[in-house]
Amino acid sequence: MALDPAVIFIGDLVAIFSVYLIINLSLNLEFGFAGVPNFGKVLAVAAGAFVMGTIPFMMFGILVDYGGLEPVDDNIMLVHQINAYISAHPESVLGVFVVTLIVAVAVGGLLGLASAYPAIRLRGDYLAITLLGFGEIIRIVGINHTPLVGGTLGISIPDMLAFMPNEYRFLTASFVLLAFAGVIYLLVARFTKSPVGRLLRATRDDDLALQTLGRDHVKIKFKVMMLAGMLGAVGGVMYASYVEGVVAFGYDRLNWTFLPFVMIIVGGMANNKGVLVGTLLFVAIRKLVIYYNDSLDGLLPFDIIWLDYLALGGLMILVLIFRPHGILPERPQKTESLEKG
Amino acid sequence: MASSRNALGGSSSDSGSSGRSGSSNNGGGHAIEIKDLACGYGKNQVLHGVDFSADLSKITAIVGSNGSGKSTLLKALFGLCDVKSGSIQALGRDITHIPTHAILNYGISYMAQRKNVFQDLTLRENLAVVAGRQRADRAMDHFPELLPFLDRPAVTLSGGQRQLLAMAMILVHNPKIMLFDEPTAALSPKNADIIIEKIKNLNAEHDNCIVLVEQNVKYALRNCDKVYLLASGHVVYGGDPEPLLNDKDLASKYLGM
Amino acid sequence: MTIILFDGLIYASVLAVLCVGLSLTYKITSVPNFAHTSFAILGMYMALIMSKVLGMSVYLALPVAFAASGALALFMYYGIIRILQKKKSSLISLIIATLAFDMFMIGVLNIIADGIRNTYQVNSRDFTLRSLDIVIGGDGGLPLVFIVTMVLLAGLAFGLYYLLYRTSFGMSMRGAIENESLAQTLGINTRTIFCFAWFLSGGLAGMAGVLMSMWFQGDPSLAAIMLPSIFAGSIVGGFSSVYGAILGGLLVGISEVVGTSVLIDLLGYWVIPYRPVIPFIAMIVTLLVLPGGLIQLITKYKKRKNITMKKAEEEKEGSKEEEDGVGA
Repeated sequence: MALDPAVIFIGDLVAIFSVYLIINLSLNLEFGFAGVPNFGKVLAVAAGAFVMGTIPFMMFGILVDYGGLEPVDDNIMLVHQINAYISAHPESVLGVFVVTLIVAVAVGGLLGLASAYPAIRLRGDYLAITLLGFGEIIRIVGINHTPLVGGTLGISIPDMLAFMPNEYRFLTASFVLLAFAGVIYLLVARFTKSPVGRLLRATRDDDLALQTLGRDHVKIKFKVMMLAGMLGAVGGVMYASYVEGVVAFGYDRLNWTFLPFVMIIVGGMANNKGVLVGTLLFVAIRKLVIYYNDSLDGLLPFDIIWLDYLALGGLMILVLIFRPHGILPERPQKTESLEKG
Repeated sequence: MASSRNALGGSSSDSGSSGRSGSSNNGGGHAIEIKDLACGYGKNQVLHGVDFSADLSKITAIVGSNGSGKSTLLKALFGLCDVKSGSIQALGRDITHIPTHAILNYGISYMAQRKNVFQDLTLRENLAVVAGRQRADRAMDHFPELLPFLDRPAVTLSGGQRQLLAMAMILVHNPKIMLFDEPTAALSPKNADIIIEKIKNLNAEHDNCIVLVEQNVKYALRNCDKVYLLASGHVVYGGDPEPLLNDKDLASKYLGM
Repeated sequence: MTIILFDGLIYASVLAVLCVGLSLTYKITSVPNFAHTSFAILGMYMALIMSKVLGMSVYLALPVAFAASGALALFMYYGIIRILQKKKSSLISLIIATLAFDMFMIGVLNIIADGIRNTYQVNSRDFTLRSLDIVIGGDGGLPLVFIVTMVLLAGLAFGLYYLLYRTSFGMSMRGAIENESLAQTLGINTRTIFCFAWFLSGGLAGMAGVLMSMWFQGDPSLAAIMLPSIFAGSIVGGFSSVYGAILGGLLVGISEVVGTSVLIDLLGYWVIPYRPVIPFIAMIVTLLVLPGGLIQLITKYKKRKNITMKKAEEEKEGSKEEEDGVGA
């Protein structure tokens, strides 16, 4: 039974929206609330995806006899074999996926800390440059270190929903992603409304005032970077498992650093609802653009992918000039009292 | 002092502004005439309905407590704050909405209170920035005490020397109106005297209109021809300095004397 | 061995020229320009168009690239940065705007590259114009591009010194950089000065791009690849000093080329793609150990000397005065 194109369109939209929502919420924590311009958001996302590209192969290696097949060199055959195992033993997925998530969260958090370390005490621009550098390096490693995720060619990864019949599998994946994104949204919203969230905004607005208040702003920034790194990695895991593969080339600055910035600035910085609106808007527009792209192909003397760069870059500049606070600007938030009760 | 007249260009070689000022003065007008001025920074209004005038060959002082708006009044004259209503005339011309960079051409110079010289540049370079390299040395004729330091960075000067350099820099433009924002702030009494003497000499020799904002009220009253007392953005007193010194009520209320 | 010498010196000089431009605009606008390398890539394509499409000498591309990239930088400053500054945008917004302009330029440059290939059937990706260069003394001799690069860097170092310390325009420029509002009250046209600096910065990057494509390769992807290197050079030297930038650019460039060749000998050819890690490590170490960069070592000494002189002056007068933002 083939799926209706409209269902595919909406299912895909929901899945990509969920992935970006997770990533954008994490970037909003760093950038919107704490004022850390993470120009290397791609670092955490790629790290999560790379973990998803390696850990499941290791885990299933315990359960399945690979018969000498290698995850990268014999990728297609091995994935086929593992998927067959998953179909027969659906319960195995739960353990593997949970362990993968835990590893990804740990790696993402550590990278968040490590990438912030050299410049977190310096001005925001130094931090931006350092983080951008880390983002470039993980890409270089992913592309050139073939044993990791297959280098330039990339790899396919086991389908965590291989036990489901095809027509259910697709929509279930979208639903699972949306559920993850929803839970993370609620957690982040709770977090930013708490006294800690208030402290975060204080860090952004005035380092000095915070220091005189006796709070260690560096410590707070570190914590946020760690938390955002964890969430970013979850986004990476989700995306990789949704597309059932990891191609290092795909983890570029445009899609996983710049686009999230565009989304949260258009939506409204430091406002979780704004992030929701911005994400939905852009994922929908980009899906429509890609949908109609094919009709443009061949008419232009260049690859239409470059129009993406023109449009997003140009739009960002216009928004910064004409509507710097986005669709839903930051509002003074009611936060809970520090004293309980 | 032929050399000093040289440095200031003298009134005859001065461009348009001085000629106009002469005629407006004959006509009974003031060098500076502010009417019903309301201004501030952005949404924050500092001055409310201020009237003010100052004349050539006179020193006019503006006094008042912190936050009374005295510096803002001076800045308004130099296009450094946003005028909401009212008018400012200088030397017979309307300058209410003239931007700072054009105001110099109207024969007006302004000396800021702090950071009024380029610290990293040598004295010679500081002068060259405003005067071009040839005229730089001539501007020094007025300030022989600075000559030994010409090739040192301005950051190595003492506070008094730095104020002298700042004065030398604004004199290069041969201004008819000179605005000084607390020229003696943070100076020792001895250096403050030197600066005020310089200002008085300039005024006596060149018939220009000097407006200065002063923190030290007694000092200001002793040295000026006319005084304005400001309080929370309004003019409380404007006129001769003598009566203000004797008015116990005003003096105790606003000047803490 | 001579190849490594040429590689190292040309790359390091090109990097130094780029670092000077980056530091110049940083000094003036306090915004790190993430689109700076795209000025250089535009220069590369000016070189390709002049030589392969129009059939002229590739050296003619130097003035053309200077004008084109300079104009682009001027547009960026006047059309984006200044508008945002007037609207009192935050530093972070300004940085994001430069990143956005970089994204925009990646699109433009790739469209130019595709357009050249599809219209003129000229290879426009990973191209090199080395074969068009004149080699003095025949094969294995001295390539002209090497001489031109060295002359450009030396001329830049000397020219900047002359401009900044010997002309009143340059002195005004230093003054306007140090204290813009004072410069304005003294009647200095700061707008002209800043526009000139941005034009110069872009133009120099354009020329650097031309030279780059004549010895190494030209490709739009270099914008992203070289960005960490030029930031590393500027930061190692000391971000807000143009002379620090020359020093830092040379150091980072040479260590990139020499370091990679040493690592190839030690570990094998697989290390080649990891070359951008070297300048990145240099940058991180600088930020951790000496955040003000190498130039800080000199300025620290100078500052101390100046303060001593000021104290002596005040003691002579017998007056102690309040600090007035000195040394800030």
